[in-house]
Amino acid sequence: MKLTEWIKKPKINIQDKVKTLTEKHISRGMSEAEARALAEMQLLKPKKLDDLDYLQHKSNLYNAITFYFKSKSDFELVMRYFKVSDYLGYNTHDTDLLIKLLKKLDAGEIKVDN
Amino acid sequence: MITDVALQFVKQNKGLKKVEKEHYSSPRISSEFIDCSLPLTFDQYNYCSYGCLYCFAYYFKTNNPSLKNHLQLKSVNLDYVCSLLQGKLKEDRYYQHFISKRFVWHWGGLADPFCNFEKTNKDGLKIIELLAKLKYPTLFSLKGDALLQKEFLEIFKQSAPNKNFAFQFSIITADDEVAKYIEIGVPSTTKRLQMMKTLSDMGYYTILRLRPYIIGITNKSIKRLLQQAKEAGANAVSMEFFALDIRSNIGMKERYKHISQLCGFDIERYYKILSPPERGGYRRLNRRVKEPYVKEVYKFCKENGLLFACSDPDFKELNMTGSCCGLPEQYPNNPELTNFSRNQLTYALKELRKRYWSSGGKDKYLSVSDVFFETKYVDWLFDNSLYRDACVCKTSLQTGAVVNTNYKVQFLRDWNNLASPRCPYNYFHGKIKPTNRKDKEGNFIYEYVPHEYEFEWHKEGLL
Repeated sequence: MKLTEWIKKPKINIQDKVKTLTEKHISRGMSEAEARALAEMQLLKPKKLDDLDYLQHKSNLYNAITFYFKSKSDFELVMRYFKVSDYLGYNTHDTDLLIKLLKKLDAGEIKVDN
Repeated sequence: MITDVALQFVKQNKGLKKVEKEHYSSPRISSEFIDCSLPLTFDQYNYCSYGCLYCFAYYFKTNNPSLKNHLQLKSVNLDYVCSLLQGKLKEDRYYQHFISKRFVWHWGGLADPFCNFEKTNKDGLKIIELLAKLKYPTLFSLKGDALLQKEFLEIFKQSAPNKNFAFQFSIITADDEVAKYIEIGVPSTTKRLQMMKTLSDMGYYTILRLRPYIIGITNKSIKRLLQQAKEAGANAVSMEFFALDIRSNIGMKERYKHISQLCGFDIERYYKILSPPERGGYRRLNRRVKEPYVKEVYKFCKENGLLFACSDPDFKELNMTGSCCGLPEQYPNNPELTNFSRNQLTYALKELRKRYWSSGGKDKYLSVSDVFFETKYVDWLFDNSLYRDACVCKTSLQTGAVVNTNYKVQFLRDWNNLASPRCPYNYFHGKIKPTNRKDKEGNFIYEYVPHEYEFEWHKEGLL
């Protein structure tokens, strides 16, 4: 898959995912409290500090620059860092998603456009 | 039933008189001094008459072999405490480091200043009379209704123009029916809110102590509770989530089962799966679980002009004041109520977040010198004798090492030990992270790690 295609796919916020999964568990007969707790246990496991390191290494720059996006040079820095030409549609700070993207990029599973 | 056991305990405590010959040693220094603005903490009795099933002090006391089967109600040595406050004990370390500098007297660390013991024994009353006379800055942490007795109310009425007292009311649910199944023998939420209103109406600074926030219980009525606290005149909200100790004894296990029933799910399993292991056996849920609940409280505070304070290691950076109990940094009505320590990590993290965002991410480092910058309340950290006598968490140290240790040394040991659950990297679970740089003394320099929620909240205009 190309990065631009991946970017265009709708992204779901983690809290929305918890809500959806909770509803699914309720439809199977669980109480609301039990369903919510189970969904959280399935989706919100703590990150290991190693993962947070990885994320920080890769995403701090991404987050900081997209947030403080001010100059052309910043923009070019992001371009060089991600080696992509079209990423602006990607507008989430969902940690899971970001780790997934970065790991897929590292593994070559997602190819940059240029 | 665990509730019957707790109720029996409460009944036994009604009208209980203290033993005369032995005393309870207080004040003391909090073991949480690394991020505590009020490390000087006081209780007039050695335990509390109530039977709250989430009580963290219960764990310490039921696991203390010296208390098993012969728990006696002891009170502090009144002569000592009154002399200390009156400045008659010039050589006393608590006087030198705190009382002489009018440091806030934080009353209610491990017990309740206005529980049933106070109704019978009235030792607290004598100290309150003295604090009123001295106009001494004092923060009470309470649930108890002895406060409504005539003699207490009279003192607070008379002292109202001085505004030297502040009150934090611990409440976990707006629902009286739920509260009575978990806070056994405690005045109802409605009554506590009435007490808050009474004191707010007198002009005192009051705080909703939203602790422990129990997911599954507190969230069910949080909107109503925040609104009621606002109407009762609360100036601040101080929150912290329930933490579950895995080193539980049978009594604790029974309590967890009961809380699970109220929550509607197994809290032991919930905490096991959702707590980061780096923090050790005192399990605290990870950030992502807590975020929506924190956001709701933070948003309410921001929209309604209340100070938001957070004692939880996660989201400490959001504190609107350097005191996570909710005391303000500025209080023109009585500036002495701001006499708390800034030399601690709650203050440091709050400032670091501001620095980070206002500089566009450039000003992101945290050194030991950024934490210990204030000179007024710093001497106690270097006092080896105080550490030797007051620190209860030094069992891992040999006697020889204790002599050469003080609170600052202990702080640095944890600051530089990445394997320790008390290391800021682990304790705040990656909110600050050691860099490859060190200061002149060889201590790590940490850097701020922005989280996803901060970017989102900025966009929403919350930060």
